[in-house]
Amino acid sequence: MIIQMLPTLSFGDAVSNDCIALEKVLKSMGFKTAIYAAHIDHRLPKGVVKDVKKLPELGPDDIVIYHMSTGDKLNWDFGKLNCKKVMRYHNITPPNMLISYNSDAAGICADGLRALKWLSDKVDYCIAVSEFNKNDLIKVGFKCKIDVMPILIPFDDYKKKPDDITVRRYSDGRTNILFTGRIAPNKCQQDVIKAFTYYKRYFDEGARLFLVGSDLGYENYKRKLERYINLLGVEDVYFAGHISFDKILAYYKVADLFLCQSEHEGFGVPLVESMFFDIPVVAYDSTAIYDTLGGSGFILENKDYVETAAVMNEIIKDKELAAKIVANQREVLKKYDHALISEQFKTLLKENVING
Amino acid sequence: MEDINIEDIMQKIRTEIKEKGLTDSELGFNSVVSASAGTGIEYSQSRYADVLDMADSDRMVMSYRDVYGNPLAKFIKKLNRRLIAFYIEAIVDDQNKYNSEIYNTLLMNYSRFNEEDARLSAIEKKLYESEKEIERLKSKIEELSK
Repeated sequence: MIIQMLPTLSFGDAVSNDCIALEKVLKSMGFKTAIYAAHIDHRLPKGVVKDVKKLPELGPDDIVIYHMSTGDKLNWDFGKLNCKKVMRYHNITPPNMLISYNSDAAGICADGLRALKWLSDKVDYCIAVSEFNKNDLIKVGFKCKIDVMPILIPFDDYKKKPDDITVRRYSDGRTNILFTGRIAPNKCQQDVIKAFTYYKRYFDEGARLFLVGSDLGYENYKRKLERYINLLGVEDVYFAGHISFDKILAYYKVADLFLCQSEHEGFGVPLVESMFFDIPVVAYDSTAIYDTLGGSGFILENKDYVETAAVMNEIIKDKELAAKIVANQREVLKKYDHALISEQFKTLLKENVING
Repeated sequence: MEDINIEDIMQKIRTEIKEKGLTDSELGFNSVVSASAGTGIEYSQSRYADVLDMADSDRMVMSYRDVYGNPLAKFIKKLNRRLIAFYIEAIVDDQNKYNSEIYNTLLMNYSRFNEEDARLSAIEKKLYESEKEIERLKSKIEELSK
């Protein structure tokens, strides 16, 4: 039996999507498998996940794949299980990035980091979602074998029809800049806004900025962002909020450029999504951003807002440059191919856990 | 992979920025007065109004409750209530008075928050304009002194 466990299985976040996608691979391999979570999003269809309280008795031959991304009591319970323990490491946001806006969330992440250190000699094998995450585990003191396998992204879902109304509303010839991701301080939406302000002021006064993502738990950060927008006097910045999947697709469909200024990413699914939709990416080089982009996109070493705005202008104006960036992104996208990652997962599992 | 010479592009961009005199003159994010509390409960205007609404319907405490049961049980309960009424009703009256005062205070806070928000916003705007004016005058002074 191979079980996947995680503190929260929610609707639409990268960790949960990865877990659900891996379950399909495990089923295709013929394993008896299930997902167990401590907190379950009520929007998920029934039967997708079971309450962790109903976890069956596990023996030494059973395998638990634990998705580690935050603090929770389950982290500590996982370490005590008497079975083969595999950790899928998605990274934990550093608490100092959150403390000013959500002390509870910062406390949870701090607990997650403590648990991670405690788990360093209790886990049999790790699969990190990026090289950056692998290095993080080594720094913490993990001695077991660690492999890197990106998040398994079901690209077929992205071929669904985008929301017509949103596409029509914003397909009017004006430039659309996009950033998707939770409204959270580690994502640094304030820097996206500032760079956009200069882009609009110096290069393209008709441009729009869409910030797509939920502000749940960080409402005060969003409020501060709104005040900052007011202070900068910049118009056409839209907070789309937590929206339906077809609307997310629509924003990707109408976007001319994806601007990322995030300072903490364990992977960066939106970057891959932008690659899929042939949107040139401009990103600040931090944490796993470079790994995810695989050297494609346009990576900036510094946070110079005027320079960032000028780079955005150069890419939008110079179609040849944009085409080259997109071509490189398409090349890198191949390594995230669903079938390829599924096969990699099967191989890693066979070599390191089942026969290991 | 297509060859993109990022260094060359950045060089060209930096030269253009210099030639056009494009500057980063805006205030940083830290200049925005933070509304974060660190209390674990974040302020939200709509939530505050909802909670006030709920508090309004709950603030009156009743000392009298309907009694249920068989006739004997009802009689005993009513008798007990009458025996302790002199004590309970005074406490309930005090509690209601206190609830009412607190509720009115919260209502005043709510109005005050809204006024302060508007005032702060205006001050931030003025501060921003003043900073820009100072920057402008500084560069003028520099030009004149050359």
